[in-house]
Amino acid sequence: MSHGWRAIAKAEFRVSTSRFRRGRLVAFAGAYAFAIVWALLLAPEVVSGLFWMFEVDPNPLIQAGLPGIMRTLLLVLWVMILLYPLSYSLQEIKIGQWEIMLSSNVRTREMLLGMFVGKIPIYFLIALIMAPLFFSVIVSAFSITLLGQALMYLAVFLFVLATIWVSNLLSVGIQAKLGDSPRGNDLAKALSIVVALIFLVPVYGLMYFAGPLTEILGWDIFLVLPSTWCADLLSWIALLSTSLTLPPALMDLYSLILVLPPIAYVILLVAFAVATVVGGFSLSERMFSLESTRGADKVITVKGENAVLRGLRRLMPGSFGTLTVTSIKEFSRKAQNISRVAYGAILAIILPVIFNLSFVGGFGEPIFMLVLSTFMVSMMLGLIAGLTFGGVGFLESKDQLWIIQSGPSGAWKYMKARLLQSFLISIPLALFPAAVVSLIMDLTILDGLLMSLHSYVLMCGCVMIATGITALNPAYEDTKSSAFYVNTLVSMLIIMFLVLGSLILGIRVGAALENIYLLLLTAGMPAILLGGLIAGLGAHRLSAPES
Amino acid sequence: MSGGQSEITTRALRKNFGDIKAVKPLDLRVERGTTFGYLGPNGAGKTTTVRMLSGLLRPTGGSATVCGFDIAEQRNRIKAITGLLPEAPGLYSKLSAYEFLEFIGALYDLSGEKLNRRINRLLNLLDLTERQNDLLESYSSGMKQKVLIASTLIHEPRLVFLDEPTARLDPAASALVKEIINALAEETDTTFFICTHLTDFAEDVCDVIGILVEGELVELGPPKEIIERTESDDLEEAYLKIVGGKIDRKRLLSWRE
Repeated sequence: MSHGWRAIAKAEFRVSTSRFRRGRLVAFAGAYAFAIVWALLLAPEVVSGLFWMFEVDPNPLIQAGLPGIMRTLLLVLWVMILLYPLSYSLQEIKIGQWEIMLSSNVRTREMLLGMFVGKIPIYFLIALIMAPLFFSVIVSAFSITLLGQALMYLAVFLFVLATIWVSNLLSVGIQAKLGDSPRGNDLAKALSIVVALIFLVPVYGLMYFAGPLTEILGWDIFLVLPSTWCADLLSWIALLSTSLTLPPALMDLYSLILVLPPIAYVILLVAFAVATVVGGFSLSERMFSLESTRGADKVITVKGENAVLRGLRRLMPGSFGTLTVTSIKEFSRKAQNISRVAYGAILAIILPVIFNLSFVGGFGEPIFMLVLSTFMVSMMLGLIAGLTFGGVGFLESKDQLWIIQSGPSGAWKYMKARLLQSFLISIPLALFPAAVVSLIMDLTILDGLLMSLHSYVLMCGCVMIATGITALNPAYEDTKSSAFYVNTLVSMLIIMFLVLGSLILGIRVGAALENIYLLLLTAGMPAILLGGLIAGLGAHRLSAPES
Repeated sequence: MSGGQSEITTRALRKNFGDIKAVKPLDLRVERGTTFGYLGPNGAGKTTTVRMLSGLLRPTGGSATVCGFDIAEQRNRIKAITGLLPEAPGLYSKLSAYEFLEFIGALYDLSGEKLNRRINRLLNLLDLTERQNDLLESYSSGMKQKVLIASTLIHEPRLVFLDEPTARLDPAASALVKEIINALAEETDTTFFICTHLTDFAEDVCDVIGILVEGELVELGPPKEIIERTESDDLEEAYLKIVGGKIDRKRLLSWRE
């Protein structure tokens, strides 16, 4: 193998750290120094401080269920390391460079290796910060020797490397399949959201169902997961290097889960790493073939309009109706928008349901169940509606903005049509999760409708807030730009404070008038008022000529 | 360039981006019905001028009127009667050509049968009818450019700003655009303000040429006059003499040493 992979790794690293381009070395040396101090000194203190704060002694619990806990932690870490880079890389397909590389004297396996090596510094840093959070509590519970700790981190290091390799393979494979076309980019972004949702499932499981999840992961069936091999190996290292004398009964309990000897797990892990490397190299020729990048280049021909759109045209026969209908078509044809909206709807359903289930006796009083679940559903829907309709779904590019601005009062007309489009699409989005949550929680139809109405009012307010913020600082579809991060952060903060403030206002009004329905209806008003104001400011800014 | 009705008049119009003087004080008069070619190298300030004149960019100083309206005070009046073809295509990838033109028409308050008729005719004229219902994401760059040209003309503007109109077009489509410009200028008195690098195109289509170098208008007049004044054979040679694009052959291979 020639040294082409080094140049690719260097370029990959430079691209991923371009934000620190003026002082990459200092930034990385500082970050790694901090991460090491964090892993060895700070994280154990922070974790034990948290347990102390909540007056919990985790040691007996951890000692009793080490293998299951270890499998759960490793599964979360594995899914995170596997899916986060995948989700991140799918946000923007970048295969334009492939043609340059393929046209030069670089072999495809070097491309694969270079891309992988270039990713290691950043993702390894993330792992170095995250892993101690998981393991310091185990280290402390078992008083593991320094050598044992070193072996544990070495095993995790190798496991993380193999996982990043697999994640890189998946990312390259999917990007090649989708291709660098507008449709491919759209599908990739939609997929990145689906991947993020898959990642959230074990995290939610860990947060709310740690006990049952640990028990379930103790089953032999989970021996098929590489994360289980690493977890079991770590459990063995912990048991062999502990300075405690563990009772024989506990060892018997462990042996029910740790069915293989340590060497078997080492062999399995090494075989996993070797298989992924060999598999990746043997597939690399097929993966980087430019022929395979035509996957998403499909011509889609639009059919006639559906009854809803025809009805809207009849209701609004003028140019505003045309703008609104066109906006609805444009928004609803993007896979990434549908993916985001579905993501929000699923989270809006999951959150109140698992919150209810994870507490003994649920929300308690039915009135609390209605109020709290309504606020959870509406906050989640408000956030997703705001960030989807008002965030990336608002404007595609600066060139598009020039076109819109070149029409008389074009920006105002566009803003109004986009808002109406968002309000209309929000109707089913508010109805569906509320209906499902009502059904699961056995709420009355009236309560379910109230939940929908409150969520809808809040969503409309949030859409105006986020759209206004995006109009004040357009980020277009670039989800990696600083403008996008700033807008998302500001929108989320405003929406979350607004929902909490609204809750307090609603409770006061509801308590004063002794009416729960007035509580929920009043609580949506601040969002509408503030949203109207921010959207107005945004439209004004968008229509003003640039300085 | 005097005597006729002025469609564009600028007085010391200028634009700075921080320390960079993108457009130095510009005094220009373009008469109604003229096809004006705005030539200059990359970064000379052509697009900035167009954006100021079409009300999208606030000038740093000076003043200008477009179709009799002040660019600082009457932007919406200007936008209603002008059309702008931007340099880069800002199309909606998930709309078809027909739907995109419908969208642009609605921005100019057009709707109903009148709009549908115009869309159909423009798509037919630009040879896009067969693919009018395909999503724009599957169009080639030349086809996208044709859609953008249609969107610029859909509201029958009195003055059209075209920023690199033929940059992405093949020779046949380029010739078609030339014919459209000539026909509209001659038959309907439409004024064209065209930014381009292509001297052949400018020589064929434009009545008057302005050459911009580093934000400064250094040459103005009919193509023939510019060619004569610079003692050149054609506009390309004249252009190269003016902007200083002479190639030193010795330097061409010096990178190999």
